[in-house]
Amino acid sequence: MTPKEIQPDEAIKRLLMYSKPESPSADFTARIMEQVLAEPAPEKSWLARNPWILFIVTSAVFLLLFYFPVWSLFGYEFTPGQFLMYYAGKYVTSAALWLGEALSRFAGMGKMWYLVPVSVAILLLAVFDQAFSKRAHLKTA
Amino acid sequence: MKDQDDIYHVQQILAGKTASFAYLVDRHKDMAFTIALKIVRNREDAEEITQDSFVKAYQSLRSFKGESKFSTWLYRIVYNAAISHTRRQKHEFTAIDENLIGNMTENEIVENLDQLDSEEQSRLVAAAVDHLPPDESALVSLFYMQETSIEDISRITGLSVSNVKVKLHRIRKKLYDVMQQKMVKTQLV
Repeated sequence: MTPKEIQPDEAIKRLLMYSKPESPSADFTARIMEQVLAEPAPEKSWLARNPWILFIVTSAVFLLLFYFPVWSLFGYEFTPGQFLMYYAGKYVTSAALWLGEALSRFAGMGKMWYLVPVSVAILLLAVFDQAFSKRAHLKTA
Repeated sequence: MKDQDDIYHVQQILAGKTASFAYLVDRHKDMAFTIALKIVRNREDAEEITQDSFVKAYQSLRSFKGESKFSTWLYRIVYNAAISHTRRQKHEFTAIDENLIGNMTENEIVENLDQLDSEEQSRLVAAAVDHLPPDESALVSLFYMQETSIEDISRITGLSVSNVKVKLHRIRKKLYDVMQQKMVKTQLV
C-alpha cells in the first residue's frame, strides 16, 4: 500500500480491531435478572394494549350526539344529523368575529402594525431553516 | 435481523415474559460495559453503572417506542449515567505534550505502526484511546469498535450529527498525535 492509499479512518479501525469490547464479571446477567425479577413487570398501559376501546368510545359518543342531540348539552331543537351544520356555522361565526376584533387591534397599532408580519416571517424563516438544515445533515451523514 | 430479535424480546417482556430480558442483557452487556468503562475508567464503577442502566432500561421499557434500535436507546442510558458519574468525580486527564509531537503525517504514523507487531500496535492504540477525555473515548468505541452510525451516535450522546462528525475528526487527529508522541517517547521510530 502506498502512503497515498492509506485512509486515516480505516487505519484506526484496523488498529482497533484487536481491542475487543470489555466484558463485565461472569455473574453480571444473573445479578441483573435477580434485581429485575424483584421489580414489578413493565406492562403496556391498559389503553395502549386496547387502543380499539378508544375508537369505539369515540365513535359511540359521536353517534349518540349525531342522532340523539336531545341527550346532550347541545340542546333540544335539532333534528338528527343537523347539529354538525349548526355548530360548524356557529363556530365559524365566532371565529370570524374574534379575527375581526384581533385585526382591529392591529389597526390600532398605527405604523407599527408591520412588525406583526415581519415577526411571523422571521419565526417561519427560523423554523424552515432548522427543518431544512436537519434534513441536509441527515442526508450528508 | 438482530435488531428484530431485540424488538421481539422487548415485546415478550411487555407481554409479561420477564425472562426475555436476560437475552437483551447477554447481547448488549459487553458494549454497554465498554462504553461505561471508557468513560469512568474504573471496572467496579463501570459495572455498577451498567447494571443500574440495565435495571433502569427494564423499568422504563414501556417508553421504548422502537423509533431507534434498542441498543441505541440502551447505550444512551449508559452514556448519560456514566457522564453524570464523571461529572461528580471530576477526573483529571493528561494533556498531550506538544513538544513530543513530531511532524509526521498520518500516513507516516500508520506506516510506522505497520512495522510494529500486532501486540505492540494494540498497546499503543489502547494507550492513545485512554489518553482521550471520557466522552471522546466512548465515541471511539462506538464508531470504530461497534461501527455505530453517526446518526445513532448522535442519538446516544445527544450531540448533533455535525458535532459528532467534527468530534470524530478531532479525535482521529488526537489519536495520531498521541500515538506519535508515544512512539517518540519509546523510541519506536
